[in-house]
Amino acid sequence: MTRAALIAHGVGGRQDLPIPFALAVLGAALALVVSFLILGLAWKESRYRGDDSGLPLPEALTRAADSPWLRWTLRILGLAVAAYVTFAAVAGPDLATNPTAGVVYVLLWVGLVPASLLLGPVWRLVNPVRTVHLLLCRVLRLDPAAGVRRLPSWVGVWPAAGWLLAFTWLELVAPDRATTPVIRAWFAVFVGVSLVGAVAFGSRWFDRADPFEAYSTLVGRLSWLGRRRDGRLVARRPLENLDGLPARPGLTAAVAVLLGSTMYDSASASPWWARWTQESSIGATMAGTIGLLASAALVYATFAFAVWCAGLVAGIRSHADAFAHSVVPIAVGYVIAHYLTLFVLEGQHTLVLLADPLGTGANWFGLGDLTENRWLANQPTLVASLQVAAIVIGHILGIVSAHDRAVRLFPARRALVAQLPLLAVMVGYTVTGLLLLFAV
Amino acid sequence: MHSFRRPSAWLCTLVPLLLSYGLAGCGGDSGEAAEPAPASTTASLSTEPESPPTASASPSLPVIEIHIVDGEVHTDADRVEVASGTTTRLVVTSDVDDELHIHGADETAALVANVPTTLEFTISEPGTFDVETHDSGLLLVQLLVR
Repeated sequence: MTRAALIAHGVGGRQDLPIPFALAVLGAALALVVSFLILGLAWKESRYRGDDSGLPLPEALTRAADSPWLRWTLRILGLAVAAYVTFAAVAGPDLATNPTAGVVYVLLWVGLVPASLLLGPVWRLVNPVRTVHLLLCRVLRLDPAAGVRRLPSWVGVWPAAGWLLAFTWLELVAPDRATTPVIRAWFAVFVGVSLVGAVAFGSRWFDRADPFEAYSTLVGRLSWLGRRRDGRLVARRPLENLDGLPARPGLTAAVAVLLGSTMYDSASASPWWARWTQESSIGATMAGTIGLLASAALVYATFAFAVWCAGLVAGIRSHADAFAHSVVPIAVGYVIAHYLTLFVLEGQHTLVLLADPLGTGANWFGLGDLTENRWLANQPTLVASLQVAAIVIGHILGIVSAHDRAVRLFPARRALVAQLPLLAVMVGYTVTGLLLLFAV
Repeated sequence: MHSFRRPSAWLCTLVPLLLSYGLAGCGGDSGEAAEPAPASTTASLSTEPESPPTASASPSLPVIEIHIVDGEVHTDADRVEVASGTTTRLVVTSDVDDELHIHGADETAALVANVPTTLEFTISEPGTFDVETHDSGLLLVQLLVR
């Protein structure tokens, strides 16, 4: 009985307090004022050179990063951790003390954000499914990069957008989503489809379809660390890094899922949402599915419409994917605001749970001796300030990225006016994010 | 020529501004909560078939009263402000057997059909906590602990 309902939620018990109204207004006002300042005062010609830019780091560092021993160490580490968690998910008891849900939803999904901000697209280096495919190819003496067929270029990152939606559905909507059978079932399907995709289209499938790689790649584009076109590791400004994100088909959908799902998560924690789903006849799962899809679709539609309007004003047809990179900082800012305390508090808790994967009172690796530091939970004012700061900074970075892209793609005399629809839609996302933090 | 050349310079001024506003302007009591206490709770529980909750020993406690009828939740407010470290009394009457749970505070109590159940709890960590039922999966009220 107790079990069944602990998991009506995902992971985590407490949520953050709503942010003070004055702070929400201050954040919104700042976002608005700075947006117009950027529009009026920023550079009039594109300055970002994407993957051509950056301060080269010592060549030895690039060699070390690319060395087979480091690559294999990371792959084996990824496999070992995945095996350990799979062991807990399969052999451990399906109780709140099982670390699986915390590992998947907190350490992996949220933890990818700080890891990728720090070091770039790290998940592809440790991705256990990629490693399994690589090992299979080695055994069968096949080239892992070569598939049975080539992935058509129009496919782009649409498969990743689909899998991102599938994972956020598991995380936020699926019934009993914190139980091990549900998580096991999802990952069984995911790993199966991934391996089939990799056999069919080669290891490129992971670049284009794996939601964790896609997430890590998008967030990693806001890192200080990047790779030049010639492969050299460079230090570069995050927005210059972001500029190098390829505008593949499906990019808008992928970022719309990231932003929309986080907004849905926020909104669905409100008592009003709970009342509505409790009293509606369609049931919580159906209502959640509709809510999640609607949030992602709304972000996609509003952004695509804004870019279409911008193109209309500029007299140039432009596709939303050409500007979608500028939504990444907004989505990441909102993810930080929304998951900061969850990551710090539940992340620590999950590490402790990992000490005892089978629920036998074991203390493997001494993880059980960790004391959970709950200092941050007792700093609601600091947390609220960090939340608003993350959202406003994400907004500003988004506006600057969109500005640089607009002055590159649009004719000079129309470029400023053409940005107004983009600015409007971004202010809309930011104000919505602040409203959700204030009201929910 | 371009007075806004480097976004980073703006960020460097914005972040402290936001932080200092937040710390100075709307709070000030965060220093007292510096003690790194876990989300500790204490609770006492009583199911009272005969005496109504208003007749019990300490009537000065804040009381949250909730009725569940035909799967619908009846309360005065969806959200209730609760002072951190203050004992609050929750009185829940459900028309079916169920289990009451304060999520994040790990408080549970059995609900017997049509019998008011009183759960006294103290949460000494700020945050938003959901009060819910397990079997019917209803959100009863959200506690805003400050």
